[in-house]
Amino acid sequence: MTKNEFESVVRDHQRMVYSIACNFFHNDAIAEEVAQDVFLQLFEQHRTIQLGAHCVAWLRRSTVHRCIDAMRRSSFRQEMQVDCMPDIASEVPETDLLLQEGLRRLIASLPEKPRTVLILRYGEDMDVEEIGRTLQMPVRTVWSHLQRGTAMIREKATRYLKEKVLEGDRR
Amino acid sequence: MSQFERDLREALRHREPPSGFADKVLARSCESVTRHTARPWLAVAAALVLVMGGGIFVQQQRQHAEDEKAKEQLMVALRITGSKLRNVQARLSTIQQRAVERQSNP
Amino acid sequence: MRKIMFVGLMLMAATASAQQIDMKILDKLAEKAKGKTEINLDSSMVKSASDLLNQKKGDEAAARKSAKDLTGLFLRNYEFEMEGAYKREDLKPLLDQLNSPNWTPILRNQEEKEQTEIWMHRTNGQADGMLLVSMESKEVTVINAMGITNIGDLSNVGQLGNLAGQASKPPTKPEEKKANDD
Repeated sequence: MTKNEFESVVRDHQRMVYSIACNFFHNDAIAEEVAQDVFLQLFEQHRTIQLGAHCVAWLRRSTVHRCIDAMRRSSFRQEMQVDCMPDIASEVPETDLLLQEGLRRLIASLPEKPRTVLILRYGEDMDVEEIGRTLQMPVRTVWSHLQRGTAMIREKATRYLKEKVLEGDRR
Repeated sequence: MSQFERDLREALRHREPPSGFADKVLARSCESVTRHTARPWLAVAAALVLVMGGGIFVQQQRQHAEDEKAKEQLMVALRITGSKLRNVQARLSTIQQRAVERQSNP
Repeated sequence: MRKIMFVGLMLMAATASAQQIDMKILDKLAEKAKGKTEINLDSSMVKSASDLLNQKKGDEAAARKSAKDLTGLFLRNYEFEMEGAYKREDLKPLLDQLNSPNWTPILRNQEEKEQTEIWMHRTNGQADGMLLVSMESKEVTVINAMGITNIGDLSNVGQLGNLAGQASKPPTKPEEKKANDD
């Protein structure tokens, strides 16, 4: 990969890399820092990475690993038990568009593995085999994390929606 | 795919990094070239290439940053314009509606 | 009412000859404003800016369509602290320019505390620009959109439909999404 090709790769894939990190942390500053580090790492290894699908796979893998590493450092730790997850009902969003914001917060508060799997499945449209290869995880483990993650979010989202319905009834 | 899964997809859709992100990455990659080179002659050669190519690169960066600013301004201006025009349209609709009502209820 | 802070958006001062109307005479009015937005985009800036707009992204897609014929976009928006901080006479130097044969009034709507005027600019009988002047009790907006032949082209950006459309659009297949986004 030449320097010009590297520049093209940065411009073509910055949204993907940044979005994975943003969805992981729900924090723009951290996401930007992680995303920059990913591309710098790509630059350092650019001679060994081919353009195209190989590069995209490398970027996804690298972004996910950097996010996990960053999360494991205590300052970025956001993993919480289900019962301790932020109660988004208290924010009383006015429109359904903010439901998406609520979902993003919930996803960012999941444990590391379900969070990663959900982001790759629904944010990157990867199938479970691809996710398994990226995370070096058996397919059934990917399924397990996917189901666990969606169950956690459903449970919390249902609780939030009940609150919303009750508020609507009270008005 | 269920509605819940569609909501998750929508929530996790790609979004734009902050303005100037690519330029910052490219600038840092240039710095890392000069920082990591151990051999002095290679550092000099790299520095020369950077100086020669860097001028063009910086100019491109500046141009891109200006284009991004122009894009933001264009969006702001078009949103304000759209809003004002829709206000007028709404007022005209109300006037028309009242005229129709007056005609049907003399 | 939109709260718009003055952010110093003059990237390039367009010469008076490039504009259909001289906005600099609003500088005196600007001095009375507590909040200002001033935007000057000539044709090359409009082109560079709209090239960066995402064709598939809600509001940006609408903006790209709106900007297709634009050869310049000049905007002044001033917000005032109190009612009565400005008078219609403050806009007279601007409105006097519309006495030129190139300008034709299209619409004048006056209600209790608001007045909006829309004018079309013609060159050799062909429509090639629009001026919108909106005077509210605490806000004045003047917009000159050069190159526009159909005012309706400008009313699509910022609609809730663009955002709601983005939120509720049907999910694309994985292959389509990857092609679209990257």
